[in-house]
Amino acid sequence: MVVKRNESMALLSKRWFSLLAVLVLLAQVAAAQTGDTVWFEVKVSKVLMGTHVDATVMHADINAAKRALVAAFMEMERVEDLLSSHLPTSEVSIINREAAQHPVPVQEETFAILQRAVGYSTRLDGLFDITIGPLTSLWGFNGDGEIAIPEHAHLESAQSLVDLKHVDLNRSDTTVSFQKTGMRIDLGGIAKGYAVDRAVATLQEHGVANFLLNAGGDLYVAGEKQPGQAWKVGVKHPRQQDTLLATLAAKDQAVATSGDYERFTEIGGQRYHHILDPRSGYPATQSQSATVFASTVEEADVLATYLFITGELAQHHAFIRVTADGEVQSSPTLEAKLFRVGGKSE
Amino acid sequence: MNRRLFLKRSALAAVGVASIPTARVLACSTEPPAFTLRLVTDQPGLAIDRMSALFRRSGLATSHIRFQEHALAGHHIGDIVLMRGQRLFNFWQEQGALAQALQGVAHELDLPRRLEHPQLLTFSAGQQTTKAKTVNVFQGDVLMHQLQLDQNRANYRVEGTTGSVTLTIKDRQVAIVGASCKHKTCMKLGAIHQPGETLICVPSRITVTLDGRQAKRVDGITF
Repeated sequence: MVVKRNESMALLSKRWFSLLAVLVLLAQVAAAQTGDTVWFEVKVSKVLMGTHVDATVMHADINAAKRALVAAFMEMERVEDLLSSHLPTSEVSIINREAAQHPVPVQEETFAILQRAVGYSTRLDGLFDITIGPLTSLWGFNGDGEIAIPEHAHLESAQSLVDLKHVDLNRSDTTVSFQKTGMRIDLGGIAKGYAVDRAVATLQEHGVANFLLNAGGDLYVAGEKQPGQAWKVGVKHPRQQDTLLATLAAKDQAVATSGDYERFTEIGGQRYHHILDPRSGYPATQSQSATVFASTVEEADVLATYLFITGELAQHHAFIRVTADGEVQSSPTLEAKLFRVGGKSE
Repeated sequence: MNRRLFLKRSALAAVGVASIPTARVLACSTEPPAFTLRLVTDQPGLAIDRMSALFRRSGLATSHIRFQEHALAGHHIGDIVLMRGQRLFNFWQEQGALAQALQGVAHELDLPRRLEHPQLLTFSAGQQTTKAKTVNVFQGDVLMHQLQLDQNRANYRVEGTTGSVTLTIKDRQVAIVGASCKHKTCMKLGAIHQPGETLICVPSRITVTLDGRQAKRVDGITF
């Protein structure tokens, strides 16, 4: 009797363990098949700030992603309304119209941007200068007219107006005034980057951790595209259509590029583009393109302009640059991240 | 039960537990076929909620699903169209849980019916590459026109609220050949023919894109 009971118990145990193992296996297969962790890649595109803005958010809830994206795009529109020199009602346009006659009061936000611009200029040997407006207008890059080489006398006259030292920022009443008539502020080298940074902050405030924002080539990538899969960023080749100069994985980073191929004209076989060297008043000639990686898009934007003009940047910054002769240079900090140099963009 | 038997049975159970990662790999490696689901509705919020829940239950995709929403101009038939691989899934006639679930969503959204200025919701998944067939023309984010890429058209004028462009479609390529804007930058972009490619006239706020999908090597390009 004891022997029979032991045998039946052993059989029962054997079946029980077998059943347990099979049940565990099946449960996990079922969970893997119909898990509740479907991620949605929500994309929105809009024309804004004079360019195409693409936003991609990875989120488990489409409606939540949409609400965050609506808020982010509204924030970029708000910044554009505040800072665009193409909008007559923006604070920058009002400054440009009136600051030579009397101090113009501005919002704290605008004042802060102008202060940061002064800081960048000081840090970058005056080669980032938001008072470059008279020169860009003279060349025709910002206006409605054709792009043309200005006469030397006009160039000298415009250059005399380009100097941040002639801008007074009064902290006590947040007013801006110009010491010379004819001065113009152009925030083209900073405003778009700042707008993207504000959109980034808005998305994060809405709890979105994984996204890619691209405003006409000024990029921010946050988090991952999928668990364990980083966002991949390509750097456009300045001369070869549909070809990438480099590709790399990026996370929680801003990228911006200054290039001579977006707004330019060719006169007598010579390319004249929109990135002007304040020292000469002419388009900078050191580079075909300059791409900088930074923690904010605003900073990446500013440093890309500086690197394009001078051909130099402190080595702790991550950058990739193509010289005027087509040579590719990259910082040591970037080389480790690069997937590859070259390749098709699609 | 003696000790040897106990250890043997425990090992069997441990094998079951250890096989969990393998099970996941096996399940995920059998990725369902690619699909595209287009839903035209005047209740986008509700449609998104219902479809999101459906996707979680159905196993239509195990990784991630791409989503886009566009406003449509004019009158359209609100409906749900699901393509699995290259095959139309007629959920009104098919059997099974997925068909029933889609019928439920359609009933709740009161589809099909004629709608004015509805929203187009597009869900897709899978790595498939598909040819470009349709030229989508947007004014802002409103889809205004859809033209066939394989039908040549010369000088097709598109009026926007702040300007206009003129398109030409020839030999499965589309280009902007005229524009009311000052700098005509859009006319210098050349012709597009690949899935997902885009032409934009910024002053006119007119965007021309090709449908279809091409596997991308990068998620964004800085320029």
